[in-house]
Amino acid sequence: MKFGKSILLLLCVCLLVSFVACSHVEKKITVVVREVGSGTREAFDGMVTDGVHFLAETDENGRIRHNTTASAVVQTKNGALLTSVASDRNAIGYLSLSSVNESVRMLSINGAFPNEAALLDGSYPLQRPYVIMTTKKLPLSARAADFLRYLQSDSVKSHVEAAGCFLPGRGESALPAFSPLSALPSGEKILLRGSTSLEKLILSAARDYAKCYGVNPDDLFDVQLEGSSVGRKAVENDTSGNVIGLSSVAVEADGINAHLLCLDAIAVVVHPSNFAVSDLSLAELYDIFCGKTQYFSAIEQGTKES
Amino acid sequence: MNKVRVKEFLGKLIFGGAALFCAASVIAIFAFLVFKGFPAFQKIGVWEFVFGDVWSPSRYDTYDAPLSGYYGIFTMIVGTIAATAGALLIGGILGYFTAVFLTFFCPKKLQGLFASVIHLLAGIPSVVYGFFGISFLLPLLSLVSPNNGSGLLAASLILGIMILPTVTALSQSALESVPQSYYDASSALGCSHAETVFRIMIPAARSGITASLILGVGRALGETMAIVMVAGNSPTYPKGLFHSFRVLTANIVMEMGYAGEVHEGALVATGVVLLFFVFLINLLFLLRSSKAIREKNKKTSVRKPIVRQALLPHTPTLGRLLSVLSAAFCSTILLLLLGFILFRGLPPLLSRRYLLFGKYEFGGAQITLLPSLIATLMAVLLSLGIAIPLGVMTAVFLHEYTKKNSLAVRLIRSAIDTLAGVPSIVYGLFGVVAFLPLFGGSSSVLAGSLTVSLMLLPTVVRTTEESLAAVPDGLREGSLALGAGKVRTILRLVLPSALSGIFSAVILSIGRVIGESAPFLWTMGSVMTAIPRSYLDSGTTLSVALYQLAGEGWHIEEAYATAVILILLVLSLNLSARAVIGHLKRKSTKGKEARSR
Amino acid sequence: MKAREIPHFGQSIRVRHADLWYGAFHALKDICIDLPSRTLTAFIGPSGCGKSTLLKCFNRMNDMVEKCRVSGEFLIDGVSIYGKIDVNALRKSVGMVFQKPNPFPMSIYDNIAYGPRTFGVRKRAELDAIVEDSLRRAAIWDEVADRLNRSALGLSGGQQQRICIARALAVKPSILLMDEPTAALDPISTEKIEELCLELRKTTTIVTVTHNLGQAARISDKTAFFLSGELVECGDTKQLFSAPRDERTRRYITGKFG
Repeated sequence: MKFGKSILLLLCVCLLVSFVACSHVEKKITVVVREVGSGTREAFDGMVTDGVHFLAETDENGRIRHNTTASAVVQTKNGALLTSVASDRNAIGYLSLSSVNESVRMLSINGAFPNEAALLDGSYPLQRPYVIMTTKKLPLSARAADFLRYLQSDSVKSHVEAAGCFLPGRGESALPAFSPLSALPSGEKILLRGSTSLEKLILSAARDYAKCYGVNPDDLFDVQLEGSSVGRKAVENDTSGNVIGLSSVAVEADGINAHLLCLDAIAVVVHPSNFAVSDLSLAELYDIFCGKTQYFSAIEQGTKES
Repeated sequence: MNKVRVKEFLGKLIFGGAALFCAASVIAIFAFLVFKGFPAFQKIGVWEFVFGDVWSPSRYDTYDAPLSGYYGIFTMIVGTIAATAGALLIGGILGYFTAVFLTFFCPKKLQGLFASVIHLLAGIPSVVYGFFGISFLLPLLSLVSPNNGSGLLAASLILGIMILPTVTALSQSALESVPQSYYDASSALGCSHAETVFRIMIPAARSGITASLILGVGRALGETMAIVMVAGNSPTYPKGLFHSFRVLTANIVMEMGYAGEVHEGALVATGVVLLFFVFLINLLFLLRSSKAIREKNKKTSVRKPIVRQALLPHTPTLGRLLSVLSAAFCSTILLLLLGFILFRGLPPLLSRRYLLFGKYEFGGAQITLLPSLIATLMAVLLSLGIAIPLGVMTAVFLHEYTKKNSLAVRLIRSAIDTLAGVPSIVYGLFGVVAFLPLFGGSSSVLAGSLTVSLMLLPTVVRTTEESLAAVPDGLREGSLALGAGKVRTILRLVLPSALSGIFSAVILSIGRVIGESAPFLWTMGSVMTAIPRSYLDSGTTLSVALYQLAGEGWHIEEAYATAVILILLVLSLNLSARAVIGHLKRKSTKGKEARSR
Repeated sequence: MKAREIPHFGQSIRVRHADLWYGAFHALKDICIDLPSRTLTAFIGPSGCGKSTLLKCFNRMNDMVEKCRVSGEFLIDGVSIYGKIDVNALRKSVGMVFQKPNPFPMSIYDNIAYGPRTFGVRKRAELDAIVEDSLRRAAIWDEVADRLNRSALGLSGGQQQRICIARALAVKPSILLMDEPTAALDPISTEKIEELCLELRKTTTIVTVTHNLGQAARISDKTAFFLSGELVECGDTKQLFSAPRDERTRRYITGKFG
């Protein structure tokens, strides 16, 4: 009884203290990140640097060390990350440009906003390729090859745009038009595996592709999008030639053919009412995400307002 | 005559085979986990793995190249211990006082009501608790916290509420088993009700209450989905009440999908470490309960020191107050949870017919829950179809065929008890490393159902065994004395008499399949897709769908609606279970119209 | 009973030098006793003297008790029942009624028909005949004839016990073992069961265990007195109650101990 009473008392005191302590002091930045293993995190960690260190880098032991602050909140979904940032005045996070909506405010990086021009001329630094992966070990099945042909034709342009991504460096004319075969090649279902970031894009493309042949997309595709790494694994283990893998990071692996699909930007977002920052340099971004900069007030703004 | 012998032999063979299968599956689970985790232990080094505090896995790591990532789970071990301690502090104390209230201070009229409140709290799926956490608790806590509210406090609160029913139910039965004569004796000396309760009854039930707390700890250790939604999950030490941290179970469920070779091994090894903790707790529980039994037999146990005697006069009134407050808190939580989710979820559920009945559209923007409902149904059917017969046959073998204390039986029984303590995420791990490769590496309803049926086995065996033990021996003797064989006795008499118990095992199992999400996530599929057409297709159960919808954040109204459906399912299961079990009991005891042929 | 050939056991029991242990506990010590055909023998003695244990040896219900060991000869019409025999067939020939009425949780009809069905009787007409005959022999037909499809659990204790007797009779046993059949019943029900026993002993060998000395004197032909696992005395009931040979028997039946 005595134990219970004192514990209860202690708890009340704890709550009270934290309440008093927190309500009057400026709040620290809440860093919201994706989980290790997601394509977005991998791309972001590999690009954000203060000139010396990257958020993820190889250390003196030859191992990958993550410099992301320990107090970061990890979210496993783009939407969850968005909700986190949208509901916290002091939050900062990053996600695929295609997933950004009006519930958050987007920052410019190095003075550039993520738009087609800035992406294609490279002035917006946080960009990554969306890649289609197929196995190198055996020829693709007729169906998968035909779908790949579709993905590399100009028909894919509308889907890319609808998803908020950009076709790299090539004009419209560079892409061949897609002409359906006389009949849908027979065979098993095409297995779509990989990044969740490409979900919107690939599903609408798949739906339209099925429409070309007048078949139900469910009879044509088996979709399991659980992350770029899963997709990579599926392609590596492909034994039927039916797997189309989707990656949201660049792919360099022995057994894999990588086909560039389009470019995506990683947007850095804050709470919509947070006007303490508008533009960040890569180094400032690094300092925030590694925990060196703990308050928005510590970032000097204004001089480079664009 | 030979026919009877053959029948008897076959019966024994089948029942014994089921029991053996259960034992074998336990061995298989551990063998697989150790087999898959051992290379990781070896590669990373046990010391670095357990006591390293950097977790930055690399997908490029293979067993035959130098490591490029760090695999240390000490931060998560600390996180797990901290969250469990917090849960014990909140859920343990509240549960204990609620049990005291229910046993001694609750007006008779309200007793049934409170019992069903506790029942319901126990039945609500953990992912619904997690969802309640992110949609209600976190915004509330963020008012006072320096971050979005996630961290140790939120995790402890949610976990605490989750273990509360376990602690309450077990403490209550411990309190109820204190002989009434103690109470009478104390009252006869002129002690008030409250004094008697706190000075005589509760101290007498102390071992039982401790055991209930230990079991609560076991539950908190293994909890996955709720805590993953509120803990923040960055792999660091919990450096305060509001600091992102990660627990062992979360580590597994978050990264299983991505894991490369060594990474996967490290996650399995995380499961092994988790199991180690669970066994430690189980061992503690066993020691405690055997101590409780010893105390009861000896009837001598040393009572409190004098210091506490001096403090006691104050406690009865305070204790009474606290117990009333705890019970009020429990009901408030339940009302809050139900109210909040129904309030937010019912309108979209009612106004959007496509949510339930909409046609699934490939890559469409509209979410329909029909595929999840069907996938859930398929999983329930198959996993119960496997677990119920196997479990019942095992229970029959253990209870009807074996001598109580033979070595084989003790082994099988302890294997099953062990299985009961294994956290559901570990079953998920087992499913991934054992079942997925069987089906070409991709998840399917079949793999998910197989995984979960293993998880159901111990519950089914235990519940059935209890109901078999409740069948009077007179029935068996009567039948055997007529010259009926064992198989006939079991099939015609014993099992029909144990029907209510078997039925409650069925209901419990359905509830678990519907409520569990951790074992399904990586075995059955985590992407909401089309209606599965066969058991080889993948699919999401409703709970997994809720986890996905809540985590994605795009379809928050749909998430509320899913939570409403889950809660309604649990509620109706609860009610129907009561109705049917009550009916079966009445039928077997009073005996109105029995069946005739 | 045409469905299967079931070996039938006789009516007289002979026990020679029987010993029984429960683990280390020596429960029966060198028992030698003869129970002739179509007699009613009463086993009496204080609790724990081994009388029920011996009774359960006759249909091998002790087999189910853990760590129970039996030695000696148990013969029914010269056939050793601990030899290579079919236990189920033995139990069909040697019926048993328990202290506490244990009707099955099914209808009265199904209760009685349970045994015959076990041994392959399937035809409704045949079953009907067996059920009616058994209930009549157990003197309960008139009370339950109009509610054969009701649950047997709804009957009174005395009625339940007679249902159990009828159930035992339905497989036509040649020997009937009764383990304190009236211990849980009121005097009126007890009287009915006693009358029933007197009737049944004309066709069946009956062995009954009882704590009620008056009952033993009233209904039994022979009486056996047991004390701490030993058979102290066995003889004609009249002789045993009027002129016991052993001092311990005399003290027991005059209420000096036990």
